[in-house]
Amino acid sequence: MSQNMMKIDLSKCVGCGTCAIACKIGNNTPQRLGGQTFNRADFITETTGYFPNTKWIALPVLCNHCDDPACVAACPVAPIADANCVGGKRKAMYKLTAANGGLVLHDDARCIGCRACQRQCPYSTANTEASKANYSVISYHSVEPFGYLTSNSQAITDCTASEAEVRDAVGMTDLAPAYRNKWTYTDICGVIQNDVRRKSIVDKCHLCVHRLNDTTLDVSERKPYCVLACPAGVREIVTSVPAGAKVLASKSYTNLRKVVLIDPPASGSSRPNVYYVGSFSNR
Amino acid sequence: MIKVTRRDFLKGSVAIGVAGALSGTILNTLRPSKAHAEETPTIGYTPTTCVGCTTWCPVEVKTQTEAGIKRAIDVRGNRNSNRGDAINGDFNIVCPKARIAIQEAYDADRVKVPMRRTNNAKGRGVDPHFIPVSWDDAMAEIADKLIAMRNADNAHKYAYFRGRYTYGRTTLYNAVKEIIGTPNAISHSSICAEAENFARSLAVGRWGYDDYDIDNCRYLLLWGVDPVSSNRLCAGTIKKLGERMNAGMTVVSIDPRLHATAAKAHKWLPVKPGTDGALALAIAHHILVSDLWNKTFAGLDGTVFTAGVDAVVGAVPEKGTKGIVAWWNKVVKNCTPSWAAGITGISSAIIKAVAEGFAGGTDDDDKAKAISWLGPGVAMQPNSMYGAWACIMLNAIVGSFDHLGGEIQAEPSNSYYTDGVPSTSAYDDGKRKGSMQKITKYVASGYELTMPALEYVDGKYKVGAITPTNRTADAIRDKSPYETKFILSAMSNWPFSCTGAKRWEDALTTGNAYNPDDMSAWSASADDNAPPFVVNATTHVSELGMFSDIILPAKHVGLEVMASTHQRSGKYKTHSLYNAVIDPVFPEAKNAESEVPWILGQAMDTAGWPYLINYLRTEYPAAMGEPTLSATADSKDFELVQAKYHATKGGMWSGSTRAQEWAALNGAYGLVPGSTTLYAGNGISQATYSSSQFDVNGRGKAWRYAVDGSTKNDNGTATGGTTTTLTDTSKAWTTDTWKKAWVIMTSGAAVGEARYITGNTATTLTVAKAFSAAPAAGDTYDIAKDCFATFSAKPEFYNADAAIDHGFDDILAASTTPEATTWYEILVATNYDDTAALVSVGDLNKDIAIMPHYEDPNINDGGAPGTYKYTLIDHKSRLNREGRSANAPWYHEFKSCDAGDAKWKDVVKISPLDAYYLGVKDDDSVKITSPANPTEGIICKVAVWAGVRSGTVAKSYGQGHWAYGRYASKVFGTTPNGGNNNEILSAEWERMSGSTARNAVTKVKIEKIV
Repeated sequence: MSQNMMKIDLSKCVGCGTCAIACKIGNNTPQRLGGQTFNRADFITETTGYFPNTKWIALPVLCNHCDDPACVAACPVAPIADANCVGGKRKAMYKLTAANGGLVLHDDARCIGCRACQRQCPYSTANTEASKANYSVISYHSVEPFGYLTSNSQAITDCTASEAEVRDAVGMTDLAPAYRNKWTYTDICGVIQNDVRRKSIVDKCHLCVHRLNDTTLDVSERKPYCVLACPAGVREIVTSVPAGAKVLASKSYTNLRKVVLIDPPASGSSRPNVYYVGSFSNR
Repeated sequence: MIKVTRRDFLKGSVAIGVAGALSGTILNTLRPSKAHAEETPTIGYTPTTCVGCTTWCPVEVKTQTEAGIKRAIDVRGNRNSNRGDAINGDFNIVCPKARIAIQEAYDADRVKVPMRRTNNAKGRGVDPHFIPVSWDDAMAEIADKLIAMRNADNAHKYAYFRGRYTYGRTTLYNAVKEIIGTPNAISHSSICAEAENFARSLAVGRWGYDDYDIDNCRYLLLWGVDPVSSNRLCAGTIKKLGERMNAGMTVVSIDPRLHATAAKAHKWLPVKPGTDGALALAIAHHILVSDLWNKTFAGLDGTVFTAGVDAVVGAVPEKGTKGIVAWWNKVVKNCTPSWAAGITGISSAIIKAVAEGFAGGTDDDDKAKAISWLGPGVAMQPNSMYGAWACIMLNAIVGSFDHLGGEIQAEPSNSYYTDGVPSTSAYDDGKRKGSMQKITKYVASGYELTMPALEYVDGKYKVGAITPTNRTADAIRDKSPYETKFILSAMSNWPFSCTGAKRWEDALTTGNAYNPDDMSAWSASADDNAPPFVVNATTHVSELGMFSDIILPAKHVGLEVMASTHQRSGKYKTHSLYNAVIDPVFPEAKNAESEVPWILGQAMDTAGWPYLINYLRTEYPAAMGEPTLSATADSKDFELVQAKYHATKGGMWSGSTRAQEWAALNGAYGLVPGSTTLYAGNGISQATYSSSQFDVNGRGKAWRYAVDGSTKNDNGTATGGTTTTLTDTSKAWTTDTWKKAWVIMTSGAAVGEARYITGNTATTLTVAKAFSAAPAAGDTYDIAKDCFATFSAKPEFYNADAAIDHGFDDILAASTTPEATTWYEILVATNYDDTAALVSVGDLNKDIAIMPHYEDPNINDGGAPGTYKYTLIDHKSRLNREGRSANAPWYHEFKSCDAGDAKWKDVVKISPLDAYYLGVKDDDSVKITSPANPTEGIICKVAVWAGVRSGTVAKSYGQGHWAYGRYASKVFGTTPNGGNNNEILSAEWERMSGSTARNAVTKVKIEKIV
């Protein structure tokens, strides 16, 4: 195994958002709240130019699973010795060695909710609404995820349903949506990757590690939900840097408000592993 | 009796499937099951159909089952359907709409039980004071009212509103309508896209939606359509667009709004709204003067077209097209690119470049690999007939109709379903009033003249065949031609989805100018001035729901019902089944199209009127060869037999019975036993694009027949005939073997005339439309099954030879109040003012009315252009799901997938220049008013956006609900979340087709809210 990377072919992308919806349902992430999007896969859009030479593009985004992840560096949780992780140490945010796939993963159980990772991640912000950012890789559960699904509010009393009744109707006793994709997965470090998270922890893309390593699936299906779902074949897991690929400039360039693609930096950055090829627009 | 439910049937299939699997066959019901260690072991996939748009994609729903409860957790393409390209293993293709079905089904605001209004007053903001009631009580009241109306000789005052349907549609739309005895079954189709069908019928005689061969296309020219977002080929186009562009396909988008495909295209031509026809004519002009037309198809080699003068016709005659030279001389010669530039806002240089690219290619078969894709943006305009016709006819100039890489004409003649219903005649109690005038034909006078609503059916235009849905509001409001007392709706919400939406509220509100009394005055017999009693079978309490008296909880279509639908897309014709993937989230919900009529029949039986239940329980099972159902059988039993009935037809392949067909539909993936072309896989699919249909050059049968007649199925020499028959005594045809084929005269007085054959005897053909002269002995003829279905068997620019009237003469014949005698009167009455002016010059100019040309748009500014300055561009969200998804949080979270739109907002997109003059910026709130709604208007946010030109504003349709649910509305029942475009769009039509006009129809005023 080697470092997992994602290649995103913008020439095939039509900006439909299927990837983001598929992630939302597959990973059971809640609705946005308080500037937290919980969109592990998302897309951002940008309009540039002047009429009639206007350009509109969409750019799929997700965690970059960086080579030098700032989120891991920032995590203050006491490291545990773990040879599966870079540096032989595992914090609440940790990076697997390339030999183990190189993903940046999160240990929900050990997270203390300090949000240092969110602040330091070059592609995250503490509050997308306050900062007017288009997205954030890392979100934070300040309240119980899906807490709104306990509501008994009915639009028309006794005639229309409520969030709680829908869950009851399908026997969803846990605090999760009726359409919960129920799965469990323990990663190579022995860390449980939860299908539904708890409050007071951060939340980010794990590249559907539970699918990547599931040998009971057809090889064709051992992919993240966003990759599987894309009707245009835009997203692809690769293990080497695609020729001519670009990476998304970090918030130090853009405040996460603009789309700026740059050559992959050799140093001086977190060295992201999501690579963009092609052009969304043909003009 | 033993009840066989769908679930039981599937269990049986599974049992058989196990045996099949052992012998190497995998059944589609078993094939998907792939439990894996990290997920709950009871994971599975169930095939069904997506109803997010009318592509009706075959899909599979991923489920998890715990404690006996099966939950839907994901959606993907049906790998067992060839439409999903299963042959190539490329099945996982669905658009973003598909997964939103899950949030619809598990929506917290779903109707869970029958509801009864207790507040007689009706109106927006008036609390209906709904209370829960039992099905028995609800249906007893409905039955009592209907029976009382019938006893009072008022059966015709019952109306059925049909929203987006499955093919179980006809039970309520036809059978119940007939048995109750009303003419008023009203479908939504004309608010959808009938004008698109109409334009296509003028061009190639096809009343139906197009399929295109993008796989082999060289140049894609898009008119008013964003095919990666909507218009029936959505998922397949998402998959192919980028791939094909990378492989060299050129894409040009013509649309006043920058949409997703326009953003990717090589060129975006932001045409001024309503001027598409001028642009198409200029493209045609430049192709012809540049000698770039497809001579292999159209012929006319050596003909010289010079701007401003009549064509100098060369030695080679016209071949596969009809009337190019006449069209040029009458219309196109003056339609230069510079002329069009002044109208459309697109430069002459760009028009020329597009024309040269579109008609490029290395040879004529490569030239034909170009698609001029007509979308609703062009067709659904108040006077779009001629312009839309011009757009689509570009395909004829490059020879791409019925050609590889072009527009796919071929459609297997087989239809895999039964759209009709068993005869209801034996269930007539003598009180039917079905022969009364339909209320949609209401108008003060001269219905046929002002709303011809033509449909091209079986080789003939029929006046009034299309139902102009949106007229219903006026008919109800004005009680004309008579009062509407009772409405049953299944999944329609026309007070929201029809333009001029406020008219619907007027029609249904108590105490308005038209209905001064309250509901207590409702009477089955008297003309009571009460609003209609409304029964609404629906998943959500929509705007219509807020005006309803009884709401019945409906199952989710796609996840909870059994039914089927049929569509042609991606070069496959597919009939796909809907399965009850999950048990209804709320057990009291019923299938609106089958269980509701069944329960209605039972309730009416209980009240002493057995006709409906006896029909349903007898005729459907009989057609399937099954025993009659008990009158007290469960509604699910009828749902099953109705689903079987509409999914089959008998004779789908040689000798097949309905029962065999149903088994095959549910059977193993692969070729159906006994057929060489039909594939099973939760339905039936068949390629529309086969080597037998297209030759090695990619030329289809219709293409070839038009050029040289080589694909005819028979020919001969007439021995006589009348204007509607042709006799050839040398033949010994099997009766009706040529029914639905075409006869084309190849010599004689009617030479060149093609006519649809309605039937034949051993020696005589009968045609739908009269020949201009009776076939005489010695006149030769062809018979062709696969030809263009026009009156010349060719794509038509102009056809005077056969005295083609495209229905004009029929309109005149039908127009009696007031009487019209000239085409001029028709054109004036249907808003074709420019044409009317030309025709009025003299009879010679009458030809203009039967050829594509340019007509200035009729955009309503209320006579106050200084007030209403901005043309509204209404467009659909790619997440709309037929208007049912606005209460899904994912709809709002990912709304930014609509170019220029924003998450969790409803925005009007305004150009930077206009925003400057209006003094507005992003996120400002604005009020938008129009001549149709000059006071209240709608309120939404601003997005300053350079994807529209100054003078136009664009806004997505879909938000602005004041009911429907907690996310769709700001305050349920009173306050909309965003603004509904239909409240400011004028209620106008493309009147020749009866289609609602949404584009180039309304100017608006925008005011900042401070």
